[in-house]
Amino acid sequence: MDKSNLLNVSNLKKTFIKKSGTFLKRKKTEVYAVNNINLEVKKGEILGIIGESGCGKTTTARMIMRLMKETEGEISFEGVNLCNLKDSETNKIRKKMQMIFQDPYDTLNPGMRILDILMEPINAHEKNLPYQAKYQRVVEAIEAIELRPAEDFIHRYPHQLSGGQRQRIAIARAIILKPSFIAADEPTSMLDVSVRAGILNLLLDLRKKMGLTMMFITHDLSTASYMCDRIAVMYQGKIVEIGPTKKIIHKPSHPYTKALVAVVKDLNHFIKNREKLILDGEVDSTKEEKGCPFVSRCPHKEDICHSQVPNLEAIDNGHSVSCHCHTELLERTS
Amino acid sequence: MNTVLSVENLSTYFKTDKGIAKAVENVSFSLNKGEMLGLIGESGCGKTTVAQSILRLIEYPGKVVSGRVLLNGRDLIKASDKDLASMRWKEISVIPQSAMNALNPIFTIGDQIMESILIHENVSKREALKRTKTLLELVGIDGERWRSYPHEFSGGMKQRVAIAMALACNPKLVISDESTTGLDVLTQAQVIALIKNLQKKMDLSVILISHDLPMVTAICDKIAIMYAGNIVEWAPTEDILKNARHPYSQALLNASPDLGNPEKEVVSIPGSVPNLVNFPNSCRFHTRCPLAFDKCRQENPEFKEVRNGHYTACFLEGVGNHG
Amino acid sequence: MGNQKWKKYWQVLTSNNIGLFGLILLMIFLLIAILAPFLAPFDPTDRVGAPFTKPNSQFLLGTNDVGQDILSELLYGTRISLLIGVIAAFISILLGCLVGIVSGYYGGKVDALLMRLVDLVLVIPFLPLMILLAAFIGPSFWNIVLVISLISWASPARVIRSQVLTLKTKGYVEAAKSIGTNISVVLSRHILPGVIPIALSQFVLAASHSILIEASLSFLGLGDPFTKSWGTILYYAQARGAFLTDAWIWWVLPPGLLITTLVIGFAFTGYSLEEILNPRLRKER
Repeated sequence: MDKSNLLNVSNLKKTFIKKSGTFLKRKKTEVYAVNNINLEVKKGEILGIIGESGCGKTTTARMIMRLMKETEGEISFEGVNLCNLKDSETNKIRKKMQMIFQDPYDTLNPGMRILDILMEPINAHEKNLPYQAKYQRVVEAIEAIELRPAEDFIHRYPHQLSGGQRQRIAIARAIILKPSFIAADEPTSMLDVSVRAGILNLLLDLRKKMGLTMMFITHDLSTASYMCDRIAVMYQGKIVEIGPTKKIIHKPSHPYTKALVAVVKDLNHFIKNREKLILDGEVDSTKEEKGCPFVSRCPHKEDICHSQVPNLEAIDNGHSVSCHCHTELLERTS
Repeated sequence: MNTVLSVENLSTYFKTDKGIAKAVENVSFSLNKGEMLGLIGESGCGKTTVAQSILRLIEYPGKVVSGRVLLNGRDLIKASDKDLASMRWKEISVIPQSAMNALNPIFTIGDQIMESILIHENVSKREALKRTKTLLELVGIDGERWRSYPHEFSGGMKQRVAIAMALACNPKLVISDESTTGLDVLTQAQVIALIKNLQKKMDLSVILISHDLPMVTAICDKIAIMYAGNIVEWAPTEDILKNARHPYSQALLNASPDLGNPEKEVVSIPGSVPNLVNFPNSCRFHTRCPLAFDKCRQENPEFKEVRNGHYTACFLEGVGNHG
Repeated sequence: MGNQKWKKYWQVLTSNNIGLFGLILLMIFLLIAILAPFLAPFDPTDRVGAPFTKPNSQFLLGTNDVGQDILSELLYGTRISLLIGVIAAFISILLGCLVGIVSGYYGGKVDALLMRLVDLVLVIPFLPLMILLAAFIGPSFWNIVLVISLISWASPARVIRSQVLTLKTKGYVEAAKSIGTNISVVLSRHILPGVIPIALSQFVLAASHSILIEASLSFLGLGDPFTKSWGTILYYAQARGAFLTDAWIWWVLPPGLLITTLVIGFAFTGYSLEEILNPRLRKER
């Protein structure tokens, strides 16, 4: 294992059981929410995970944050395998890894003041600190997220803050213990465009100041390209392409990534060449697919795509793609 | 004259416990035949209220207090309920925000499209069914699926059905109210592509209400930018992109990252949207505007044409260079 | 927000006529219970007049079979009825909260087991069970309370469980977990504050049920014969043939009316509390 990796995820799987059929002919089907994911997050980098809703990106983050148990696989953080830890040990490691959630209106308890909300993590891990020191920590955290003066905010309730300010408080709660890793689950998707940029810049700024490592989950490619050093594209519970942001944006290799990039880069081009980029297929994640998960919407599919699941294979330095028909893969084999 | 819709000085207020909320004030714009107008703004800026006012769907405690909405020369605000009923669907129709709400889960989609045809037009059932199938084909759904129920479709497909329904009686003007919000990026692009292609094919006039600036700038001919109940700028898309006059428009353009320009630093707009209840008579953007001066705090600037087809409401207009 | 929130609840409660009416009724009964020694003309246990006296200026509602003043009995009976109602309701809500929270929060097998138990309690025909229990463990104040609590914890448990299930999916509960907050803190700081309002409205409704049950049990002679509750008054009235003579007007009707009024007071308060706590039921204003 590479020493420079903060987080290593290998063969991570999560299945849900779907029951169907009548009483006597009860059928249980396994549905993959996350299907065999391998990724590493290097110290100090921001790894973007991008995909549509239901592709398993949030499930992956929740498993890494130990909010959900994996079905199979291994997650190691700073060399410790998180999957075999006892609950008390997990709670201890949570000091070092924190999560920022999507909905700023839901993530702060409406009945608690900002002070109590920010005290919560300190009380969970450093209960014995004197009150003055705890209070000081809270003030520092509020100042770090650029809500000044902190005293103005400390006694307010969440409903007295705007959406952007709430999300900042949520960020303050995540950084107050000075963690080394933060998973941000679509932190700006519920916010208005005009405040979105502030949150993104704040996160970039915090990473610089605190040396944070981040996992940034989003469905928006342009946000990901602004934030991330590397991007992993997920589709139907799998990583279909992973690589440095520049490679993903300028040389997308998986047909799904290609379509995504086309939409965001030049919508008019996409509208004119729609049939060449994506088919109007419907996706049913409960159906068992033998072949490539993207096959029903892929405009370049071959026979092999229906019968065989492609593997994630490296095509360039640090750039891997999971596609049978990828040109470079084809060139190499022929 | 090929103006399809012309909205003049439209104001819609809502009565609240704390006073009058001026949700839409003094909004004016017009739409030509075959034109696609993007009405954009952040949540709560009043863009949906504008659409509802045009369709006269405002209910108590809201009220259209002034202004005219001329659809092919007839004032919708003053029209009788009967006239209005005959104009909805046939002349003006809506693709709603969420197709789930527009489709009744206990009827087949074919029944629902047929019903709207049968109510508004004097045709036989067979004729209506034939048209229903054509409509479904038009939006890229197999015509034989008219027997399916809404739950048998995915989100994107339901949105297509909603589009087919909106087009059922050949309207001249279609209002799409955030109709792709909540769909996945690719599905959204596919639905937008469909709307764009249909607009060209059927020479429709479309008002595309959205908060997604990149999407709107990519496909609309003209753009109207709303902020806190006012339209602050209305101009052809090119002009907005290259020469936005209003500080809010400029700020909005700078707020979202651009894939084509990775070096671009995104900047947020400081502060937050003001409370519209009992809002004083001043420029509504002055609390967040970096260029605001005394006059901005005392008067609301007039919305006027500054160049050919380019309207904006800002006191700095004509004073000199800004932005 | 805390203070404001309660202010708002108070506003909704008082702006709601039914709720206000119920609350006023409850206040009146509470006053009667507290002030019973001052209001009552006689000690209800003293034989102050001739048996079976008709109402007159001295005994406003006449006397019973042993010559005790019925009005004084009724006034003192308010204490017992109210006390049994409140204590029994309190115990059953406490039990309901415990089961509801454990079941809702932990889920899985614990949940399945507890909910089947709840189903069991809910489907057992409660009057026969009650009679059986009361007859078996014998009549006394605390036994009545016990019997009532044992059969009425189940439906609050259900309601509270469903509330916990919604609270559990709230973002702030998940956030607290991801911070590393331990379970007891999550329960006490995030779950409980959301449960208390619901528990309150359930409590008021349970109190009205408890009062009815107490009256029924006592009427059937399964209550404590030495405590003067409205139910026991009715029991003696029935046993001494008051139903067959004119005596029902002053012996049977007044306790019956009092029971009905008190139950209505609780029920109205409870319904409007429910309306406050469940905004979906709130009327459009």
